[in-house]
Amino acid sequence: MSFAFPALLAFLLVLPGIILRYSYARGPWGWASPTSLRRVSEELAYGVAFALVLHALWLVLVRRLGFEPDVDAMFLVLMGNFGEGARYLDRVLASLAGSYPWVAGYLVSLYGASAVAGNLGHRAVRRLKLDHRTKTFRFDNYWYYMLTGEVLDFRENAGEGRRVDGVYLSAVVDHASGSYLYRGIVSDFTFDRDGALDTIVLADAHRRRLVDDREEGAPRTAVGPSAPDERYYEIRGDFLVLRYSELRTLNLDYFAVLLEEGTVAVAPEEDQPPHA
Amino acid sequence: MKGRISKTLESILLDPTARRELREHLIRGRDGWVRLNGKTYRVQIDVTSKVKSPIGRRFAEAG
Repeated sequence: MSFAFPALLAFLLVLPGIILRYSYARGPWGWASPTSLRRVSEELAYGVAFALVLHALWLVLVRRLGFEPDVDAMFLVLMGNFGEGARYLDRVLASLAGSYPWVAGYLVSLYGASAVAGNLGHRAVRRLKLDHRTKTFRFDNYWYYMLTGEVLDFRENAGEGRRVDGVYLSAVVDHASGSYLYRGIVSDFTFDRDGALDTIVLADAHRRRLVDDREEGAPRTAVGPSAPDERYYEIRGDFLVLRYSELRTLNLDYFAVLLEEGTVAVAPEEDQPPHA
Repeated sequence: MKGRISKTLESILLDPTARRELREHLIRGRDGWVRLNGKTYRVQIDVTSKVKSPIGRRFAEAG
């Protein structure tokens, strides 16, 4: 028996744990959901731990269904040690050859069950908002919660019920000609293979030079829909993509858009509601 | 699209005038009103002051 076979078998046995972790972290395909992929070494450690639990559960289940897997033979293959003079080798080979279809079925069904369990786990956590309630279930993807405004729903941030219709992003980007302040409404964002924030997609993007900041204490000119802030200019196009690696600082404003009904409270002149 | 954009906000962004109004309120960092299809919407920007960072306050000050 070659050296590679025990390694391959170990991989096949650990695979259910990795599948469970992966499907839990990724969530259902097509869902806008926080993903939380960790480093490969970390994933592997979690995979081994979960695989042990899954095998224990699956062994109980298949034994009830009448299949008696030869666990001892599996251990011997994994260890690569068949006793003095390879006295157990024949027994192991006979066991593997005799129950090969059963072992294959056991593993394939466990892979499928792991994928389904991870997926359902992710769905349950998101549907029941367990990740908002407790850090235990929170996915390791803080950017997702920040850029969608879900961070406001965290229990430690004063609880549920505050409405967020959009997230307004301000970011400083350095160019050869100077620093610019880019602003816009977060429309989408992507992560790289390591799970780190890669790009942020803005709708209604506009920018101005950072040196055009108002002096501290300088009088504010009336800026509003009737008197737009001339320092900014709109960036043509439907979306602007900012690379996270090129951002120097980043700020987020969460805002709500509420339909006004009935009387409107008194507001400063420039903020008066428009009359239809 | 993973960003949080509600149906109302999406409608505002599709209307050039409403979008411009919204943008000016967001630039100033103050609440205001946006008119769209004969209806008036209140833009409530500082939905939380607790999470607002010093950088956020500085941006609002500087416009």
